[in-house]
Amino acid sequence: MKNPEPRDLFPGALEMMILQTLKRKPLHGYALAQHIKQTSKDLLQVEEGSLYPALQRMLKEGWVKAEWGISATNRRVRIYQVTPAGRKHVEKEISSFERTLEGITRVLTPAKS
Amino acid sequence: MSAFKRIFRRGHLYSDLSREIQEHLEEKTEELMAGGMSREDAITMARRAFGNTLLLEERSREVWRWPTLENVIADLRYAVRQLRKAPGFTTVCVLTLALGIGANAAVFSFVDALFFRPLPYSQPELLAALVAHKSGATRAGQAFSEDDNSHDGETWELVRDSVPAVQAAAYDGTTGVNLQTDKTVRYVEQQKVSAHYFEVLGIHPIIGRSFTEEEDRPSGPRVALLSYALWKSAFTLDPQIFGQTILLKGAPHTVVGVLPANSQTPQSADVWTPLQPSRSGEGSGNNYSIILRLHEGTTWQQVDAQLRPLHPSYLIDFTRGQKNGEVWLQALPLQQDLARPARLPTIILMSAVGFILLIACANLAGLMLVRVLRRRPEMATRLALGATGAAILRQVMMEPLLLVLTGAGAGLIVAVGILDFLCKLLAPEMLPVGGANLDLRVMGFAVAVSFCTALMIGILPALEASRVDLRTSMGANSGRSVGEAGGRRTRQFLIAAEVTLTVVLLSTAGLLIRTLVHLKTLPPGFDPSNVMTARVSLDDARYHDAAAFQKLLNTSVAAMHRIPGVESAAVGLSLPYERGLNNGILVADGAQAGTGWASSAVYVTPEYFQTLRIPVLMGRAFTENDTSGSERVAIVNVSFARQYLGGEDAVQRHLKTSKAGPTLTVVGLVADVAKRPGLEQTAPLASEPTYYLPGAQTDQNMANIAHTWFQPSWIVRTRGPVSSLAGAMQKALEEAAPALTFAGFHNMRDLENKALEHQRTEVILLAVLAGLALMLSLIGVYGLVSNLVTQRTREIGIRMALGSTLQRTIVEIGKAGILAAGWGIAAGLGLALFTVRIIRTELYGVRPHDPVTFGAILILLLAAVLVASLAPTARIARIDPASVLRSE
Repeated sequence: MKNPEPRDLFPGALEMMILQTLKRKPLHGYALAQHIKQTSKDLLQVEEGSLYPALQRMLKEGWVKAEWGISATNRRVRIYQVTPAGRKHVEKEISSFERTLEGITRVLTPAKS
Repeated sequence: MSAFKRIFRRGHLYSDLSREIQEHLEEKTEELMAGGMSREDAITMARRAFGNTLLLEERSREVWRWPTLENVIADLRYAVRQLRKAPGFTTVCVLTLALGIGANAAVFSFVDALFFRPLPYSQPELLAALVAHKSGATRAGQAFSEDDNSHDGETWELVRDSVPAVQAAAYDGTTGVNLQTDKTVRYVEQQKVSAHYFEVLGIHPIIGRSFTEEEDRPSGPRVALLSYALWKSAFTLDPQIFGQTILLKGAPHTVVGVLPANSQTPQSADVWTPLQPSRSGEGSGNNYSIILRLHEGTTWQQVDAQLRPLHPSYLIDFTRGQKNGEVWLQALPLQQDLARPARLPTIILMSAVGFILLIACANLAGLMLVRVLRRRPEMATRLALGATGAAILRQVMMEPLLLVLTGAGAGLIVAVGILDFLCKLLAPEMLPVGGANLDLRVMGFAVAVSFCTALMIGILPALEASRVDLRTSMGANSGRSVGEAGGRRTRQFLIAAEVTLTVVLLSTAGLLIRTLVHLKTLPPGFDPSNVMTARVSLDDARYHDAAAFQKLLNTSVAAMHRIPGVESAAVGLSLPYERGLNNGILVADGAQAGTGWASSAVYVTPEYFQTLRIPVLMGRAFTENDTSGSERVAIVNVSFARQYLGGEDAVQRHLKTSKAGPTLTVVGLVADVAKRPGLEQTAPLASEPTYYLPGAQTDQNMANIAHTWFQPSWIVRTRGPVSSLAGAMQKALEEAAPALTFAGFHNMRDLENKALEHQRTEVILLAVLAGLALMLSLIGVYGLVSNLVTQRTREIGIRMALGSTLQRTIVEIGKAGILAAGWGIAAGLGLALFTVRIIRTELYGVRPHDPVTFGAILILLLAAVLVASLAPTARIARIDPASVLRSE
């Protein structure tokens, strides 16, 4: 299946993952892509490029900010950083995601009694 | 980030993004190469892992866009391109719209100034006019209800003294008077106003003060206030003007103030003097207007409650003379009172220009429809490629919107021109206080009208476009089905609608033209050719005494006589086509003895009837022998004899001007002349009961009062055209009476035009607009049929090939236009029968449902429609069936 935007992730999931990753440490686009890939152990098929529209959306929303800087490999890169608004957003999203997941899990798990 | 900042920073954002993506790809490539891959493979691999670079970059950019706006801009560009490809169509549309919107904006500025814009006074919402609200039945038995704003001295005193809720002021109409400065005499407009007049309006003199109550008492001191313009022109802005004495009306007046340059009084004047109101003289009749300023915190109900119990005797007289008549005093917002004379004409004009715009809209909607239908295949393609219906609609609407906005822009320039034209055309009393101009409210109106116009032009084509059927429109040779059934029906409906409005306009204009023709062809009752007249103000202290007045009449008439080429000369208090002085008269003998009437009264010198060639039907004209010492005599006109003397032989009957006055013997009966009625305003020109008195026997008190309102006219009849007659008359007057000046020279045609100015203006405006409507409608009909011929060339070719005659084909095609217009004419005649009732009060000598007018309109329209429908079918004759079939 060829789909330019991975619809197998529900809307907002990519943003959530990006924010969660950036919360730990500011990163530039490439590093961010690698990190998500490695952490998910390649379970999630994310096109590296699809990060960029998501990042632009979050820049516009004010959840992240970006600055040009020099990377560890001595390359001019744009480093993204979570803003306080981004932090608040991701916390809210994660708690609502967890609730949803819990709900789904309960329905999918066969009743015990 | 604000949307605004974003748009301007976008270039920056985009380049950042491209560089970032580039860096990402390079980093990946390098990493892969470090893992031992060849450069080419690494690049390919990096690309694959990244995804569709272009698409992702586009997606990223989209985040920053304002998609609706940018799509709109794209549509706008498209519309501009489309319109530039059709310069003829675009020019016609823009010009039509410029004219339509411009005319509406210009006329609306009058509506605005009359009804909506606050008057140019402080707290104008507290200003009111005092009116007597009368209702009852006219002599003809018709129910009426009117607000009369003229009052007498008794009413003024009652309102001044017993209505604590308001500050009141009274004023008089304006009259021309003589102002003498150094050696020159000027004729200036004077208005008499009471104390507090300027306070009520909120106008404060820039020099000095307004009139005090002391100055406003009968026979109070002679004082004057100057307008800024007069102060400038006659006194060169002399700062020492306060307290100076000026020679006004032949008597010294002390200047007590100058008004500001920009002050706007309800009636404009050059100089103001105290009204000095009383119950006698001027105040014995309804000659005052009264304005009120409500004290702050007072309600209109409170004011009316204080006015209601007042019963001046003239109101009691009214109820006595009326069956079931009712009358009471009330306060009417000043704006409403001032707008009254212009109300109906303005509404008529606004409706007429509104109709023009609607008609233009119908035409343009038809043209747009054709364009949209022609683009059907293209739209179908776009729909098939995934465009939404809304996107198509937006694009269809863009063209009319663009046209209207361009048209509106040009329309504002047109509006300035039309406004200027109207201000010059309309009589001063029709112009609103403070003038009409294109202010913000008018601009707002123009914008609103423009959007409605765009909607009206665009909505039908848009609806048509939304009905695009993919399969038929995209089929091969789709050009064939274009414009059939749906489009034609819609266009026919539009044509019918515009013809309907045209009929309404034509009938209005037609009836007004008939009215003017009626008034213009009324028998004047005298010979207007070779007559020159000139008015002189005798509201002048030097001529208040009988001897001086008599001497002036005698010597000036004699001097006029000596002008070469002059056949006869006379003086009269009023002329034909002018209003006369209303005066009471008592019949002293016969069956009508003791009855009193209101009549028009004119003093004249002996040659008056001869000079104007008013036929003396019985008895004699006045002669030199009718002097102050001889028997008191009078001459009456036919209307007077018929209405007041029982139609019997009038000569040798006896009249009295008042119970105590001398008895007058009627010595002659003269023909009626057309006058502006002063007794009953039944028509702009009519015959009125009139009696004439010899100038030599005039009661000086009556003359003095009459001279405050009327300027008598000097009249000469010449044998033929006399060069520089005006100069010769002025010299003759100066010979007889130094320091008197004529206030303009008029021949009888000028006076007639002045009397019919309102009617003429209405006819000019309505005839132009109705003509425009007719032209636009015919263009619409022509366009419809012409378009049908183009669209159905193929069908026509086949018909002819199959043996249809040229005639039958022409009728078949032309029928569409004739039918549409026919429905419009029928509907229009029906509608006009109702709308003409609105202009009933503007019609004289013609009934609203005048069969001649309506018959003429019907014939004119039918003929015009026939021509407009059949002219474009001439092309059918040139269609060659063979070539049409070959091109299949």
